[in-house]
Amino acid sequence: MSSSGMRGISPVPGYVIMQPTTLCNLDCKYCYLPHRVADRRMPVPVARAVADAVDGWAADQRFSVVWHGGEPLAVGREHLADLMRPFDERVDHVVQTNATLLDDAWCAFLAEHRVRVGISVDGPPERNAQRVNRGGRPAYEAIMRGVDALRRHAIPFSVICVVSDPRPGVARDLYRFFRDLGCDQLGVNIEEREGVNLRSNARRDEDVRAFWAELVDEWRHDPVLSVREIEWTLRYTAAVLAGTVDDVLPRQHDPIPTIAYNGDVVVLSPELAGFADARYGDFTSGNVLRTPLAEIVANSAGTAWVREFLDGVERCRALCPYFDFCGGGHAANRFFEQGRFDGTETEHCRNSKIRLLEGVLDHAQFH
Amino acid sequence: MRNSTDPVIRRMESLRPALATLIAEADVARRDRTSPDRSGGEQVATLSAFEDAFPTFYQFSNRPR
Repeated sequence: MSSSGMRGISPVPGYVIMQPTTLCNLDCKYCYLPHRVADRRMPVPVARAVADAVDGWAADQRFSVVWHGGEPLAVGREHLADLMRPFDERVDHVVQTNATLLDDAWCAFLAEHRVRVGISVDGPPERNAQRVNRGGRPAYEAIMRGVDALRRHAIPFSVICVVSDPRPGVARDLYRFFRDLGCDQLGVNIEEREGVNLRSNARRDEDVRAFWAELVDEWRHDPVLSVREIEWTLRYTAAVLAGTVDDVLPRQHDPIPTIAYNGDVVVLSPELAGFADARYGDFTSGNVLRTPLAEIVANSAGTAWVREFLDGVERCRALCPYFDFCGGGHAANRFFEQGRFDGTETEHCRNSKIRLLEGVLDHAQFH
Repeated sequence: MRNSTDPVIRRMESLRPALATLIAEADVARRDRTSPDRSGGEQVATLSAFEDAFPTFYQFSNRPR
């Protein structure tokens, strides 16, 4: 039985994810995006419609607009500036970029517009081999040129790293690489089966637990980096020991509206944007060019697949001893692994939640 | 309400001293990372730093309200 009081979906998000273009100049082997060869660009009226809602939300709380993609820098500075212009200055802007297009001009733009930067890189060349360009050649050198530009301009950045082979030995390499890269924060995503990436993400339990335990071990030797997964796990662990578990999760799920290039809105899982299914349709809850975003979000719990997802969350709550740690399996992982939204434990749950927590506990037990 | 019959909670309780040490070390590391010396004189977010850095990571960034 869970201690968390988190139920339902909040009518107000903490951030929105914007798709300024579907295009990506890379062709990473594990990418989930369906239309990344096509340059379908978000027109300014879509951004203006989103800003109408976001500016109101940002008046009451810290609010982020995350320019995702595709590769968000692929739209060019002029168009990205046009898309950002409708938003109130209180809004935080973030780009999640593959870094290959970053140069001095882009860094000046990011600094001028006070854009926070997250880059995607998987480690040293041998661990970054799945990040390739359209010709199939490694993107590592281009990524490092982008990182060098960020360093020259003293722009802080975080990193999201995808790990396809979590096992002993890998975490040590990765932590040392990212420690030396100069990022502030590291997030580690175990590869997921979703979207157009149909590769299995079933992994051996002992390998993944050992990976996470080793990451804690490395981090503990030199904790200069903030590692998202370790921070979260220790926050949860501290709450359990203090008897305050209900303070860990929010009261309600963040709806996390993703705004596709054409204004379509998909809540909860950005990975569902651009897909369709005979049973669930195109997963959208509306389009900002026809309906105010605030209204779409407020009514999103009425979307058929979202109702099914919320049933699935309640099943997780009833069945899973890790529920208070994660808040339930995620929508995209349920759908792409199980073909429905009311299932429970996914491979993603196992790799990135259950084995993470158990790996941290393994470290604590044996060190 | 979770209790001591829950296997996850039971394991954490059994590791309480080791976990308390780990949590304390993480607190110190977090303070060191966000000290004005390291952040160029600018005070930066502490406990929510990773959530601020990763708003896209919805799995863990359902920001507590």
